[in-house]
Order: sequence, then structure tokens, then C-alpha cells
Amino acid sequence: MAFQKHKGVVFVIWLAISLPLIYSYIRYKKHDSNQSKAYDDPGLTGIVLQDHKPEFNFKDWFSGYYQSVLSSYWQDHWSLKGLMVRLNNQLFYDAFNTIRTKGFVSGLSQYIFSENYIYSAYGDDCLSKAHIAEQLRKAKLVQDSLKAHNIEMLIVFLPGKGMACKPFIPSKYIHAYTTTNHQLFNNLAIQYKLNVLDLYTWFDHIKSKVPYPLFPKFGHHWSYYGECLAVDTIIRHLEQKIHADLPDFSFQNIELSDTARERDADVLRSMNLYRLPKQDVTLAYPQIQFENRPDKNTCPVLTIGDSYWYGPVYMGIQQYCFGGGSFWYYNNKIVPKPENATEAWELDLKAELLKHKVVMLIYSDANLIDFGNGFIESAYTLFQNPKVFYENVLKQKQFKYAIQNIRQTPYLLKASTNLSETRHISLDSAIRIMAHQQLTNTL
Amino acid sequence: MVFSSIPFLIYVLPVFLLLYNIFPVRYKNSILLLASILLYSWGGPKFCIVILTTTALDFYLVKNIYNSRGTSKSQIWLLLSLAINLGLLVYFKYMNFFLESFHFLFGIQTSSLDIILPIGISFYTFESLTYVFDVYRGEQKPLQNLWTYQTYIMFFPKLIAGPIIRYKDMADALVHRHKQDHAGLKISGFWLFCIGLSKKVILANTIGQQADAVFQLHAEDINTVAAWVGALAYTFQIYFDFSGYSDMAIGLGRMMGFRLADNFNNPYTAESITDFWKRWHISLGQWMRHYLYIPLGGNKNGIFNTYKNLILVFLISGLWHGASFNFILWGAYHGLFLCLERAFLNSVLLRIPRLLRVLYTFLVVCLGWIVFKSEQLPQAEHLINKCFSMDFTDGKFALQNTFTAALMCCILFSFWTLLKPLKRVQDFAFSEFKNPQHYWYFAIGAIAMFYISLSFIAAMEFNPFIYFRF
Repeated sequence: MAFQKHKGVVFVIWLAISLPLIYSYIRYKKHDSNQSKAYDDPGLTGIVLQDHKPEFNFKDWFSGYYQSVLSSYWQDHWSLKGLMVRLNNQLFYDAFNTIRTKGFVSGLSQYIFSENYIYSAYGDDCLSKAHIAEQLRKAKLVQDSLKAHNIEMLIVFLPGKGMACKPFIPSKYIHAYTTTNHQLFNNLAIQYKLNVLDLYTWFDHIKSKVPYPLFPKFGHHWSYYGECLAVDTIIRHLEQKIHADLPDFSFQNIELSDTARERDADVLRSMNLYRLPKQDVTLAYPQIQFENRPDKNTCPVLTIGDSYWYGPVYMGIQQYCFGGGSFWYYNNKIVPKPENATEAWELDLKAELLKHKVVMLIYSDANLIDFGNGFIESAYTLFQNPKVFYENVLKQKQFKYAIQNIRQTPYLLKASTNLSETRHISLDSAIRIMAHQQLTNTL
Repeated sequence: MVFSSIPFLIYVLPVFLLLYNIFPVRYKNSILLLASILLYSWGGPKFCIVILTTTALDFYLVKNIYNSRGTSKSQIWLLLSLAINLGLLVYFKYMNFFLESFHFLFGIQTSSLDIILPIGISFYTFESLTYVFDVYRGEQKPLQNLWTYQTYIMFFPKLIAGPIIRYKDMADALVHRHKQDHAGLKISGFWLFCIGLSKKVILANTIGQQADAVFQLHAEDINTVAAWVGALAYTFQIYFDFSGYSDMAIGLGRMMGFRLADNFNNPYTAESITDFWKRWHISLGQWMRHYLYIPLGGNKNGIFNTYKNLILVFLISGLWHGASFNFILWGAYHGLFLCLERAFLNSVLLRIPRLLRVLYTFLVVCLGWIVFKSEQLPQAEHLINKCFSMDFTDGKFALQNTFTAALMCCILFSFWTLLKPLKRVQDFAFSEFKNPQHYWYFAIGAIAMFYISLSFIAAMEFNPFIYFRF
């Protein structure tokens, strides 16, 4: 009797908790199948979604696989997910200066840092001198071998944001240190007489002289303006080194903006906030131009490096100044993608090297722990012992195809993400474990 | 399917509550059983076959126990039931542990078996045993309806992580709960569910990240501060995680008209370890008392036997938590303190102020959780050493930005009932709401907690229960 009198309250409770499900149904009914974006896409940046809704079959249901994938799908696609994530991220950012982008932290004056670059700046990821010396010994042999084929090799060391913006690093990361990977690599590279361009010193020298920031608050890499200056410096250095006249790179008509654009706001977007923070630093966006001189653009440069070089690649440096040479992103993804391959290991390394006049390795400090991403070892083996090199290539191909398949298949990538979180390992490690499991299961 | 997951909160709960409430009374147990089977089989239907089969076997075995009462046959049926229940528990949960221990002790090489642990096996095995023992002892008549018994065992709010409910505490509600159902019970159930959900996803998960960060550090990076931060963080994580889940289970039960007993009673305000075990995981403590400690003789056969019984009960309690030496050691640790308190510590404690008694208990429990959490005994030893080594050198340890706020909230909600007015507030908040004037306030408050918790779940994505693996 008492329940009958107050069932309105109970009904309101039920309605409130059913709201997301009801809203999902309304969106489903209203969606237009011609739209490219799925109706249940949460609209969040940088998250791996389970976009594969499983087909029911008894075998998958009995093993629990169907339920596991369906749960993952529901978890990623419920109707209020985007809003709830943004509100929660906003709460943590405003109240605790905490951002939910994996591997990134918020520092002083809203400067965002990748934790790896902070650790690198304070020598927390320091390799042993012996290890670095061995790597650079091999690099010297590769340099000399390439030189015998009239190919120059150049190593460029870049300052990461941790090194360049130290005053804004949160105090809990600051401690005394004796050396860093950059210092060890740079000093030993000079000792081994490698061709090195150290942009640290250059950045330190110019940062107080230039009118605009070289690093944005909410970006992971240099600012667009910083990239322009770095590109100009690298081109000039290369011209001196190889005694060539490359197409000129110029920038003028600098447009100023209080709103970070493109890569200058890459971390900001992945913070998935409800309300973007006020950006109180003016950033500069020069209009850039490469000289349109095909007769000068005859020096193909193969660049192997990390994400810092992607900005100049987007500017068009490889295409308009470096003779159409490729960029091998972490010695893996090929930019631009050729017809016959996606990743560098799929190509014939020797043939690719011989297509270029310069091989440039360009790495920021946090990525020196994996300097070259295997390129130095591969090239060293190629030149020292080609038979062994080609045997290794065959052995590794199956495994690398499995890894590639996982990266390119959304639900497998999602499973890898879950594995990396469960075991507290990197996503790369999780993908490698899954690839190994796939191969051993098929054997 | 865990209660703090999006699939349960968004997809399952609204549909289940709708079906449960619109169907007539005579169908409610069937809906409940069906929902329980579907939810349990969500993790893998093959394990559902195990629990349904053993439950059905138990049902018939217990009938035979009752029918042959007073004869030696009844003991045979009892032993058979124990063999099946405990045999399955030992096989699924402890077989590999025993094989590894065998290898460690005798050096004989053994290979591990590929065994997957059915979820909640420790809980439902103990519940089955309460029914078996209660009928054997004549405290309970056996049920006539297999499906009622299945509903009791499979009752999804408490199936995978407790509380452990004796059949007689649910018997009446299984049949007659509709007679005492009222809106206040349902609303208080939802309110309690949302409190539990908030405890789990807001407090436990947040402070748990700091605990994980410390326990994952390399040994050389841990200093005294890190060790204490990790210990405190885990102490509060496990409490809010487990009590939060219990609150959700009890709240769900109320929403269906069941009145389940509390499983936690502000354990960190306990004034001795003896008192702690009357407040922490109460249902397990009561099970151990009724079905192990008292049958062993309890404290009736002299002081030596009392100590022996206490140590044995807590060794088994530790082993119940997990197939690993650290859990056994943790159980022995608590058993030891119970003996010490009986021997002389209680008389010492009575002479010191209440706050110091609370602090002593909290410290003992906190250090015990280090052993409980550590995956290897050397890790536990290292952390406890660091707690008292006064090592304040710089390391890689850094406090998370949210830790201080989370810790303050955890301390507040763990110890606030030390103040009598706040204790009354908590008692009221956890009661059935009899006054309709309060209904809307609690309904709105609960809905707010529900959505705030949803935002935490959505943002954190990965939030497993600690006790899930038991």
C-alpha cells in the first residue's frame, strides 16, 4: 500500500538510470546511415574504441568471447560517454591540475609535458656509456659504409620539451642529476667522428632572442614557429655538409594567434576537456615557402626519426627540398606510403639506401633510449654480414606481419590496449605479446 | 559482470528492474534466478554449469542427510557433500598452489595445471556449506523446491563477492518479501547502491592508483615515505572497494525487497584486532565462528586449545582469500594478534585512551595489508622494513595530485563515526527510509551520485574489484 502511494519516486529513479539507454535508442532511430561518423561515436580524441560488434554464435558465447567483446563495445559506445568523460576530465584538471592523457602531466603555467621527456631531461632514463658507445661504433661503420656508396649520413639531436621548458616542470620531478642521454650521445658521437648536428645548443642560444615561443603550452613538440627555425637551420647545415644548393626555405607574413593550431594543440585535444583552457601565450604562424626549383631538388634525403620530424614533413620538406626522399617514422611507418609496403621492414634496405644521397637520423632526447629504432643494427648487419642480415629479415617477417595486423585491426588493437592496462606494460609490448600468441597458436 | 561496469549500470540494471517490478509476485523469483544465471554466465557459461550442477547435487544430498538423520548414513551423505563442495574449491583454487608447494618442499618437479578459477567460488561454496551444516545440525529443514535453493545460491547481488548469507537469513524473504516491501526500502536500496558505487569508483579507484604506483616501484626506488603512502593507500583502497561492493549488493537486495545484513561496521574505528574482526567482512567472520571455530571447541577447552583454534581459523581464513603464502601469512599475523590480545594485550589496551586503541588497531591492520597486497613475500618484507627504516632519500616516487584529497576523504569517511552525532547520521543514512518526506531528497542525491560515479567510470575505464578474484 505504502509502495503504491510513493511509486512515483521509484519510477523517477528508474527513469533517471534508464536515460542513457533511452537516449541511445533515440539516437539509433534518428541516425542517418549515410553519415561517415557512427551515431554512437563518443567523439573523444585519442582513445582506442572497440568498434567491432560481435556476431553471436554458440561457440563464442560458450567460451565467453562474445560477452567480452560485446561488453567492450558497450563500454565504448554508450550514449553519454563523451559528455561524462569530458566532465570528469574537467573536474580533475580544474581541481587537481591532472590530465588524463596517458603519459602526460600538467606543469606550471599550464605547460603540458610528456613524462618521458621530463625523465629524459633529468637523466632518469640514462643508458650506460658502454651501450651508447657500442651503438655509435656501429653507427660509425654504417656512416663509413654509406660514404663508400657516396651517401652521407647525418645525426641530428633535438631538444625535447622537457629539456627546453625546464622552469615549468612540476617540482616533484626535479632532482639533481649527473648526466643525460643527450650529453652522452653527443659527446661520444663527436669522439667517434660522426656527422652530428646538435640543436640543443642552438635552441639554448636563440630561445631568449626570438620574439615568439619555440614550444607551445599545450603541444607535445616544437611550436610551428620553432619548427620553421629548426628546418631552416637543418637545411643550411646539410647544404654545407654535402656542398649542395638545396631549394630555399623561407617564411614571412607571420600571423599571430592566441589560439594554438594543429600540432601546437595536439595534447590539448587529447585532454578531452569540457571547456578548453584559456591560452594566454601568443603563438606565431609564418607563411612558409619552398623554392620551386626542381633542378635544385635533386638530393633525396632518407630521414629516420621520431614524431618531432612529422611537423616538417607536413610542411613538405621531404617533397620540396629533400628530393622526394622518404621519412621512416620510428624506422617503421613510411611517409609517403609507397605502393608495395606500409612499414620500413617490408622494403629491401640496401635498395632503399641506394636510392638516397643522404641518410638523416633525427631524434629528440627521450627517444635516444631506442636510437635509430633498429636501423643502426640492421644497416650494420647489412654491411658487415649480408647473409645473416637477409636470414634475419625472413625470420622476422612473419612476426612483423602479425604485429602490423594487430595495429590495423581495431578490435585487436583494443584487446592489446586492455592487455597493456591489465599487465601495466606499454602498448607496444602488449602488441608484441599478442602477435607471439597468434603465431604460436597457429603453429 | 561487475556492478561498477557500464554494461551493468547502463544496460542490465534498468532492464532488470523494469522486468522485476512489472511482473507479478509469483514470477519474481523466476526472473531473479534467470537474471542471476545470465549475469554469472556472462563471464563464461561453462562455469555456470559447474555451479548449477553442484547446487543441484547439494540439494539432493542435503535431502538425504535430513531423511537419514540420526543414523550413520547421514554422516556419509554429509561427507559426500563436503567432498564435492570442498573438492571443487580445492581443485579450482588451490591445486596449482599445492603442486608448487609440493615442488618447493620436496624438490619433485610438477607441472602446473591449466585451471581457470570460477568467479566467486569461495563465496558460493561457503554458502552451500551453511545450508548443508544447518540441515545436518537440525537447525534448518531442507527445502522442497530446487529452484528456490538455486535462487538462494545464485542470487546475483551477493554471488561473486558476498556477503556470505546463511540460508535461514534469506528463507523468509525468498517467499514472503512482497508483504513487507515498501517504497522506502527500494529508495534506500538505490541510495545504498549509489553510496557503494561512489565508494568504489570515486574513493577506492582514485586512491588505488597511488597504491598501485608504489607497489609497482622497483625496490631501490622505495623510501620510507613511499612505503607508508603505499600502505595507507591500499588500506583505504581495499576497505572502500570491498565495503562499497557490499553496499551495492545490500542495496540491490533492498531494491528487490531483501533485507541483507551489513557486512562492514566501520572497521577502522575498531579498538582491538578482536573488535576489528567483528566489523570487517562480518559474514565471513560469522561463518568461521559458526562452522569452524565453535565446532573445533572455540574457547571452551582451555587456553592452549583456544589459541590453537584461533590460529587455525585464521590460517584457513587467509588461505580462503587466496592460494598464496602471503595470504596464509596475513591470516597467521591476525591470528597471532588475536592470541596476544587474549593473553595480555587486551588488559593493556583497556588502560590507554580510546584514540590510541584505534591507532594501534589501525597500524596493525595497515601493516597486515602490505603482506596481503604484495605478490611476493620478499616485497612485503622490503616494504615493511622501509616503513621503519627512516629512509628519506630521493627516489622515483612522487605523490599523485589526487592523493591528498582522496586520502582526506578516506580518513573522514573511515573515522567519522568516532564522533557520536556523525555515527547517528551514518546509521540514518544506511537505514530503511520510513518517512516519505525524505524520499525525494535521497532519490535526487542518489541519482546525482550515480551520474558522478558514471563520469568516473567513463573516464577511468578500467576498475576491477579486488575481491572479485576470490
